Amino acid sequence: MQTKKEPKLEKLTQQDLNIIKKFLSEIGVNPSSVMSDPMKLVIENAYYNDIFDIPVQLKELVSNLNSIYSSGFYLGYIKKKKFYPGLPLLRRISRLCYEINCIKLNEFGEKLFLYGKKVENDNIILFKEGLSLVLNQRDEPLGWGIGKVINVHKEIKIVEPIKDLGWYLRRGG
Amino acid sequence: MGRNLDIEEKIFNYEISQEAKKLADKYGYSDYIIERYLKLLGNEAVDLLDANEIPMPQTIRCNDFLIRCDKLEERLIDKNFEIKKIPFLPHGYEIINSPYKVGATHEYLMGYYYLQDPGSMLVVYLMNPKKNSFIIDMAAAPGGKSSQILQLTKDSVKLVSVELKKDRIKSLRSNLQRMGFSSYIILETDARKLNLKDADMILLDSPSSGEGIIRKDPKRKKSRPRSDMKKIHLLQFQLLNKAIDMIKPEGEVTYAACSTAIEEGEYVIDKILRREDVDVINTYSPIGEHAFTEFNGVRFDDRIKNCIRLWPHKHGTEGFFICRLKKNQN
Repeated sequence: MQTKKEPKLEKLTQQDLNIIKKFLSEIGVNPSSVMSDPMKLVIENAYYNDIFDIPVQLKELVSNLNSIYSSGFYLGYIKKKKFYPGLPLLRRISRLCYEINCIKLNEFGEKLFLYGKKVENDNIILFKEGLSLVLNQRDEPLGWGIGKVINVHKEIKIVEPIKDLGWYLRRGG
Repeated sequence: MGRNLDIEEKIFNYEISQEAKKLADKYGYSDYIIERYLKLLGNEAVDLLDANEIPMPQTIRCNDFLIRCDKLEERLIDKNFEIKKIPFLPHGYEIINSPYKVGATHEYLMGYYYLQDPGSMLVVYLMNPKKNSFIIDMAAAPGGKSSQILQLTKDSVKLVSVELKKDRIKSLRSNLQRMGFSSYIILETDARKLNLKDADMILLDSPSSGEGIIRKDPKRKKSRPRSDMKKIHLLQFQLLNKAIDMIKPEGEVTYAACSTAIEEGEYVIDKILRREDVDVINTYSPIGEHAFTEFNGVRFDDRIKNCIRLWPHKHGTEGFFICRLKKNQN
């Protein structure tokens, strides 16, 4: 009988790296400003790979350990050749919002967004089309959202949440 | 051998008095728990029973890794929270009044605080984790103490957090991520099977009967049949033995059990002190009292008096047993 392989952290392939870089370039972020030593968690028969940035002091230890569930700074996951950013990554990227532009919401918009609801014109302070990091008025990150212009003439803008901090309550465990 | 059996009998199978049966009936407990209270506390046992009827206040630990605590205070007060600093816990606050659920504010989602009981917080302050050290948290979910270790070391540590239970490990990961930490490795395994060595510090907040949190979860008054106590004790002893194996000489193990049971506190330490390479560290604690050195005619190792007990009726906390141990040089 073949024994099941224990979950282990492994180096990223060039293809994995390119997938993450593609995502970061879409939002205007230089990879070196948010990750230094990314690794993927390899679990037998899993249909996605979690990606972690491993701090230097953990490097040696993780390479010798099995049964790893999570480690280091969670960047997101790769599934079917696409990168999906995680919530912790918001903190690293939010520091760059002054140069990459992010969506900003007022207090009511923040509330809606954290309930996983879309936010419309009046509650949007700064708007950006496409996938973006979403901030509140204090420049604190709230999640990932997509800015859409749904009617060019009437200038209706909305921000739809992709993954917001409310996830920690709804799904975090 | 005969003596050991006699001791086990006195620890696990003591007779139940009529008084204990009456009180068990009145307060809704298993009678063996009450008998133990009577043997440990005498008349004071009723004070403990009364204190256990008062629900635990909600308490939080401010995460000063992400926000200054005075700023968090301001923000919560702005939201009409009434909070009070807990004097013996550097980052601890009691929630006197809250307009909505403490675990559902934006500040919580941003990782600015963690809901944690005071005794549980005290354990890690007493442990006093050091920056740049290699630390193992052997029973880590849902992450209160692991996140506190990371907070107190400013995320500059090598922390291995171990959890066996699938349903709990998810919340461990979620909490450590929410609170902004990254210097950790979570292992999904039985800590007794770990293959690690030379740790500088180990925390074993052991799986327990949970008798210490009756104020929070009254079901604990009756949830454990007496026969479980031996199994729990054995698991705690095995885990602690493993902890001593994994620690480097001069390294420290902090053992804690959220329980008032002698079987889960003093008796576990008494057995571990039969190893020649272990000693008890005399620990100053701002609250608490000495552990017991005798129970039902069984005399424990004298060094156990340097372990600490927290009682709901005396200290306003959960019931806790805390003991810091040191591995001697070979």
